[in-house]
Amino acid sequence: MNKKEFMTYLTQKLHRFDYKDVQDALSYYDEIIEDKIRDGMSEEQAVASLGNPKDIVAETASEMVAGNKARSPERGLFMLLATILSPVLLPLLIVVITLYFVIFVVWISLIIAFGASALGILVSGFIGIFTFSDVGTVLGILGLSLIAFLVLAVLCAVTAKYGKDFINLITVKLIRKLSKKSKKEETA
Amino acid sequence: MDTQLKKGLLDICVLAELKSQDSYGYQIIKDLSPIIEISESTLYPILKRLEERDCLTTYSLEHDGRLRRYYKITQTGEKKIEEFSQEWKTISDVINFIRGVK
Repeated sequence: MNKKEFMTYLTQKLHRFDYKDVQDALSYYDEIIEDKIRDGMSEEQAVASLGNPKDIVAETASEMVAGNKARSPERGLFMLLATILSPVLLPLLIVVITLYFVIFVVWISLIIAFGASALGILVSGFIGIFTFSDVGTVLGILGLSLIAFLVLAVLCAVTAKYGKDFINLITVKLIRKLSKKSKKEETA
Repeated sequence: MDTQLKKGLLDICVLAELKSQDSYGYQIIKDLSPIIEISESTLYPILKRLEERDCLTTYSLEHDGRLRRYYKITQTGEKKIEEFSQEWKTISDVINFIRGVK
């Protein structure tokens, strides 16, 4: 093993420790290898004289583990929370998505219902003009139709104004949140 | 040698080496090797531990176009050596007792 291979090996094996600590250890071994080469050893001999690379990793990390102890319980707690919460969070997410979907469907069916009834009442009003001679009934029917149209107009106006935000809320925000969460989990 | 006992002895040996003069990794190994078994990978955590406990400080000096890290003993470190020397009486009593039993 030459010096570069040894350094790469150490870096890989110590990757979960603090970057600064690892760099510190690497420069320590780099210095000693260089000193040994100056003393007449070949690069391979100098690396080999340090001993079994596996043992070196274990011994080098022994103080790093102690140094990082303050951080590890926090990390452990985070992992514990994530494990406990994930069976809770996932159904919660499904509930939220379902809720959005239900609101969406109810809204659309309201529009369809009021649109259909407005048209229906209007048509029946016109038919009424020719079938019933009772002007009061016809005017009443036309009035109901007008109310239905008004409600429809309000519904459409609200949809036009807030529909985009609503869809944005579901698609953009939710997806962004989800991707952020998965990114966080990846880095953790 | 018992690891726990050796660990304690090594700490004091490193401090004693630094008491005579500031030193660097390879030099410490070379100086201590005839007295006690020590490897580069055992020295590293010792130096880290002693630095963390304020027994030594470090500084870098350029040597042959590269930086070499030197270790320097602190007052706390010198106190540690003294404490150990004072414990020697107890240790030698224990050793004499053990030998006497045999």
